[in-house]
Amino acid sequence: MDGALFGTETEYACAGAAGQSPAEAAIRVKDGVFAGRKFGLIEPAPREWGEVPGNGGFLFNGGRLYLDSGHLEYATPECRTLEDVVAAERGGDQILVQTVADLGLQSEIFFIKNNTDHFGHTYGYHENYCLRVSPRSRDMVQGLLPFLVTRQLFAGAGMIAPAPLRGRATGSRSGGGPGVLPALPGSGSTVPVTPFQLSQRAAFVSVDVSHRVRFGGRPILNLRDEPLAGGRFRRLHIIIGDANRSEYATALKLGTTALVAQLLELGWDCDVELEHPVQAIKDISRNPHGNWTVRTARGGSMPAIEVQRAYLLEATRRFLGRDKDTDWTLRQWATILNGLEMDPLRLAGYVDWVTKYQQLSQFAEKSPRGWDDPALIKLDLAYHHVNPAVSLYTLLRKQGVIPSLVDDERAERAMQQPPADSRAAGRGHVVRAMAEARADDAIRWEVLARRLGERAVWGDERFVVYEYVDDWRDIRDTGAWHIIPYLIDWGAVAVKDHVLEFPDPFRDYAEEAERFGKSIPSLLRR
Amino acid sequence: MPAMPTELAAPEAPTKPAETPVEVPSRQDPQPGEPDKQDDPDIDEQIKRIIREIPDPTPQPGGQ
Repeated sequence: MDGALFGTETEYACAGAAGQSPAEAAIRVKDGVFAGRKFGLIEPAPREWGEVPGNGGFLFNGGRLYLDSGHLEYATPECRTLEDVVAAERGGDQILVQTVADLGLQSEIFFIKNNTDHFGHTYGYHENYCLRVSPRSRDMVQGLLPFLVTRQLFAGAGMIAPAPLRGRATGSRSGGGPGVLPALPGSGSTVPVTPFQLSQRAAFVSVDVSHRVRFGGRPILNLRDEPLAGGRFRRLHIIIGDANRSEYATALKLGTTALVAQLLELGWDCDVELEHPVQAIKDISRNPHGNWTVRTARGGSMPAIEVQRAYLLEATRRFLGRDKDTDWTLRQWATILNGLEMDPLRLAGYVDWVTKYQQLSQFAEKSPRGWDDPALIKLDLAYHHVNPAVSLYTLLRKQGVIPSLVDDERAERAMQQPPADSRAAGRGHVVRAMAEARADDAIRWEVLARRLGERAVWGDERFVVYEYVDDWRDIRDTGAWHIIPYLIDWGAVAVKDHVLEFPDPFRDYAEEAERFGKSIPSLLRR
Repeated sequence: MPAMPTELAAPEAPTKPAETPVEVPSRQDPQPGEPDKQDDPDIDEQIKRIIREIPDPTPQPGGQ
């Protein structure tokens, strides 16, 4: 997509490890990913946000795998096309599946790509978009909120409301009693349904905008602006999205959001302002039967689909015909909004929440316990299991119910190969060269394990290291290259004072990476 | 079974996307003689198998 660069971060849930907590199982698999240098290289440096030495590493595909808040988290490489980002997400899923199989734990450890455990906890799926203006500007914030509040209509992953939230998920606009929601139009069903929400994240949101992502209130729009690139680039960090299984929904979610970000960068002033964005995002999520409306700041109400169409109209006016991804996004955006307006059930297979709602409804109709059957929660989770042997999503894909945008061969390549047209290509090449040179053999784990921090004297060695390393300059300034022989970052790779920087995420750095890679064995011997 | 199309049946290029109605996606409509996928007993059995084989819901650490 012209001018766009994006990537995602997924915090996977983990279940089933006999005698192990999800966090312990995540550590075991993380170690498995990097132990054989099969997919990437471990990072020795302690990093910000409490990342201890060996907390994660960079991958040959240009992405990163690490532990965060007790979850195994995968960040895709920087992508410039929708196909690349969809493939990169699948590549991450398959790295976990392959590693669990390599460890012989496929019947013990299961990873789940979703955002709630049905016990009242949520965990993240974050989107990152490269910008040239600040995401914190008033125009950007006001322009994004109505879009993000209503985007769940086609990007929501759907869920049975977690038990702690069910009391607040009983609103009914027509028919049914307390705790009963009406059926979707077109379903022809009069069977009462259990509380179901379009979004897995909306129920956990408490503020519209915040610099924080978790404590102090989960926001619709996070204001973190950590570009991880050169000075002219900024980063939009969106944490309200669901981890989709539908590749179509993933592509549409990222494509539409990239276009909206570009509209706002160009100075377009969205004429829609919501009265209560937090209330609106929850109200929409709790309503799976259509006719979604939002209250506007001017005191009236408008259909949520019309909010989306306001963005679509302007994006079409400005961008139609620009490039393949843009045209795909515009066409599918228009089609999905019409589908949602006329009969959401026809979008099964494309929109995750519709697919899941249909599956759960059919299961409940056949169960003697109906919507009270506890197996429904397992079925909800099954949709998100990444192990294809036990994944409802994979089953439906194989049955032809759900389309794929990338084939299995493309997804398998994405486990190892970075996108060719971003700096991920250069980073991936260097990480592979470092792994082939066994750079991690030079890490002095026994010293790192004694905790870094402040001034230290160990044996005859005296040096200063920091509690965590910001970038390669910290290691250079403290003379700690003999402990931490290399550093890999989104914006640079360093091996013992030799640095290759990637300030422009839109460049592939192919020639520089090739030269740097060849020098690594000699650098490590110094 | 053939794979589903990766695009929904689209209206004309959306130069006027606010205008409705347009064609509703129709490629999922069952064709004459085609069995309803959701009544496929094989799918039901496979769903039951999956539910048996996956672990029970497990509390997760709160994330970001």
